[in-house]
Amino acid sequence: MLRSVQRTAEIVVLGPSFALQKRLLTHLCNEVVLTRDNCAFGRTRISNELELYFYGLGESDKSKDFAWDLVADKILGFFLLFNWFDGASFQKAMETADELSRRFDAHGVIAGDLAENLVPVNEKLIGYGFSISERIYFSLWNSASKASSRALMRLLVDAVMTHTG
Amino acid sequence: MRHVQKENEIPIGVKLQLLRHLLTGTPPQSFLDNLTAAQMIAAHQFIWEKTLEIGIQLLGDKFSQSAVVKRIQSIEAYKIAAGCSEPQQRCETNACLDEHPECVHRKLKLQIENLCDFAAATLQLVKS
Repeated sequence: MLRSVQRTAEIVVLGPSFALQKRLLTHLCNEVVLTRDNCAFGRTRISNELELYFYGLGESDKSKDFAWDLVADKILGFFLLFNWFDGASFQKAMETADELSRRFDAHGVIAGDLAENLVPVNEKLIGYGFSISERIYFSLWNSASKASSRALMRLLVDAVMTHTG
Repeated sequence: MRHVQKENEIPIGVKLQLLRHLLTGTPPQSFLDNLTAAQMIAAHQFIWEKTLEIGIQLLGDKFSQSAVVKRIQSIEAYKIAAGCSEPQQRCETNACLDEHPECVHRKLKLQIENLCDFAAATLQLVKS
């Protein structure tokens, strides 16, 4: 009989606020906790052999201390969240996306949160993945919707499957 | 692994900005002025692809690529307006990038604006 081996896949969640990261994690994880240094952590078990770990990081300077060089090659991917209607949040996301793509070849999904303010956007575009590089998708996201959050996860898996091997 | 950006590539942040213009139906004119002519070629290619994606996503089978092409000022019309006597094929392939970068930039900027107009009209059409 084969012994089951539990493996973990790690995903980094970057975003302008703990609240926004927590919304995504709550929709994707069985368990979400706030760490002592005010970071969000979540995990979800896919099977007896696979568990996903989500690490939430803010965009403050403190987060730049995060050991990207150590983890970048082993993470499954990242989510970069921002508020779609907030110019400053978008600007910060642009800078972070540039920095990430310059330094690493990680797979990722950049998500613009509509925060239930869906009227200005056609619903057919929410959750659709616009490929913006070989490894990165952009999508509009409704953070209040579990289905929309799951669509982001599918995009990340798609990015990994499409651009691996 | 670090990614080395080539001269004619555009950063992810610029692509995000272009996509935001497309999805909000707002013109990107001044933003494009910051790009080099070589980057404009990449920006044009990106905007072209995303405009088609938006059209297909919103209109499905009713979408027609020729409707997009009709929106763009033809190379022939551009050459006449620019007073250019170079062969048309050179203009179509941006072959005079090194000799006339400002002309290539101007042409592609116009085309990108046309594409953004198409995307804005499509977004408006589907909304109404």
